[in-house]
Amino acid sequence: MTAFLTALMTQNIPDAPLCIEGETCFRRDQVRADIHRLAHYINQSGATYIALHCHSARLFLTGLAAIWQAGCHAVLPASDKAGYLDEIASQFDLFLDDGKINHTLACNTPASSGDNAVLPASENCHATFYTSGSTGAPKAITKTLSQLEAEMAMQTPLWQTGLKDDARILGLVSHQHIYGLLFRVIWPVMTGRVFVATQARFWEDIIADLKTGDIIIASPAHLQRLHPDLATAPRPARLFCSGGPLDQPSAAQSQAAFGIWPTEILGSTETGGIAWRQQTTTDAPWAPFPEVKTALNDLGCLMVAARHIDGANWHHTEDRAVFDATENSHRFRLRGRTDRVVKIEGKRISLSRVEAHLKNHDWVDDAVALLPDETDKRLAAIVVLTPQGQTRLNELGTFRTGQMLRSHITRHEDDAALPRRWRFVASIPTDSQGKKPLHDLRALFDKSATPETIAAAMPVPSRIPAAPTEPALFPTILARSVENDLARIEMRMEPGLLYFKGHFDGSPVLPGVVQLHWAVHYARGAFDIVITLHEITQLKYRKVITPTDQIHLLLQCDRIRGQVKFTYAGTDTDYSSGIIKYSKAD
Amino acid sequence: MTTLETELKAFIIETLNLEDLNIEDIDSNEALFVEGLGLDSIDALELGVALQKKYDVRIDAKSDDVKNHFASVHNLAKFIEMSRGKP
Repeated sequence: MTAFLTALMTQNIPDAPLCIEGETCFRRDQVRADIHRLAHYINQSGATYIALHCHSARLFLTGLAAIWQAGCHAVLPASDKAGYLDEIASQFDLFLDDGKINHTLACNTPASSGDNAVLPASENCHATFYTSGSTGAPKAITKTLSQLEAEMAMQTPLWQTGLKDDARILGLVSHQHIYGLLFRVIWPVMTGRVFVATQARFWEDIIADLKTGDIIIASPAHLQRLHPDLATAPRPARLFCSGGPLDQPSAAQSQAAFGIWPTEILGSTETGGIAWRQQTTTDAPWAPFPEVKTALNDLGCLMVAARHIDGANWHHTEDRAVFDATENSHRFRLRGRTDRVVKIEGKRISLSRVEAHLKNHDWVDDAVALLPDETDKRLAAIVVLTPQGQTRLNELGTFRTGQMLRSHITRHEDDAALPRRWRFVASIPTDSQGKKPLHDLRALFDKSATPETIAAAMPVPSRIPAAPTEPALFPTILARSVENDLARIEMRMEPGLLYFKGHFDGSPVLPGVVQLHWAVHYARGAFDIVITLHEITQLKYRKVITPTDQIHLLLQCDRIRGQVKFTYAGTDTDYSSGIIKYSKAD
Repeated sequence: MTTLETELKAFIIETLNLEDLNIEDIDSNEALFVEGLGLDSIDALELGVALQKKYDVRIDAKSDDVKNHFASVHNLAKFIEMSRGKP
């Protein structure tokens, strides 16, 4: 096992391939020359924070090593969508992707061999990852190369058994995230294993390529959707799975397909790997990695400390855990997430616990606890009442009903956990992925929110889709307001929208029928009406909508006539307008 | 109901941002904390600070009477009037 940059930049393993991309094998010396040339370019650019997003893990490795070699800071966006990059644009001053790197390598005259260049120290090499934070905005987490190296040095002895030297590493996950970066790039370089540079999207991409004894880097999404042909494919020597919880039946099906149990790794961007297990039985306990110290905090959540996390400092996770009482090995089982821990009056409050107490109450069907905005000092709750609770709400009013629920919570929790503001709703806003986007929940507490918006909180897709590879079906919503029967929705088109595909090549245009579909979709949410399309009149398309346009959708509901007038308005001209007539549900 | 009591009710609602609660919903004699209005210890802190600011009353935390003064709007009004009466 060799330090990453030493292995990559100075180790001489003649003719040994570093990685495979398509049909081509790339040797270390080839990639090394590219790194020197790219580092030279980066040096000349004067940039310090360099965003890197590649589809090829080889170009990614080239970029990453060059950024560090040039003494710069690597910024690793989770997606290369224009809207996403805009959100973090202030955090980098140069953007490199496959095209840019290839172009630079093709144009730049070869720099001096660079063999004498001094390698930067691992602790001075920084990489910033992004996770979708609890607010939905990308949350930056910075690691040093020495942390990444420490983690793989710690894990490697656990996995070496049964792995042949020529075992190759194939990945179904992106190296833009920490798990993919560690296992698909850092680990192979440090251990001299060959990696496949192209990320497989589907099992079909791997099956033809798989050799007996290979190592597969997968996620629960793939293990829950196994391909039937895998049963007859060559057997891998190890199958890693991380990025989310894997259910036991899927683990067992993977075992049946591959002949080995998946090696699940528990961790997050913040922590890196914490523990591992093979789920041979349901709820098999997690074994912490050798150097990871584990304990429970006052909320019953796992806290961890290790060299690759935050040195001697405890890092508090939001996973509730119980330690295995039957043995001394520190193995533990997870007991659900204590999502969204907030600090109130200096106390750590678990929102999930507040919600659990509320849901235990006879009056409550479903509940969400939250901080309505960052400046709020007290919690708020959104509650769906049972029929019994609804009856009491009618008698008592909102305030007294809330106080009754507070007195229920206060039996279990400190005063800091008591919600101050209450919203009693028919249903809790969820998006198309079944998640509860915080900005939609928070909108219920906006001063301007009318009872109508509260009654029918509008489902909109979260700003960052969970699966960035899937094309988006809706635009990004920047703002919206509903007053009486007038709704105003400010939206931004995204180049990644499904509907821009294929028409027309080179000059994408949003189809008219999609504009109609969106108008119906947002009108349903805004006005709490059931729209069964009856007739569309006065439909006019004046100006084409292109992938980065920012547009106001105005919706005016005329309940008496049973119609909604929609207008996609631009700054000077309208894009389109029309009237949707709906048959009233009653 | 005295003017000061009405004023205090409005003041409590505003200070603690008690939504959907009107002045007439608060009984002058109902308990402010735990029972009755159901305010909590953090509300008490906020209210104490705000009262000191607005009515310039000195609340001595060591005094046993604090609990009594804050028991209801009625008591609170009495306490403020008493403090004002002092030189």
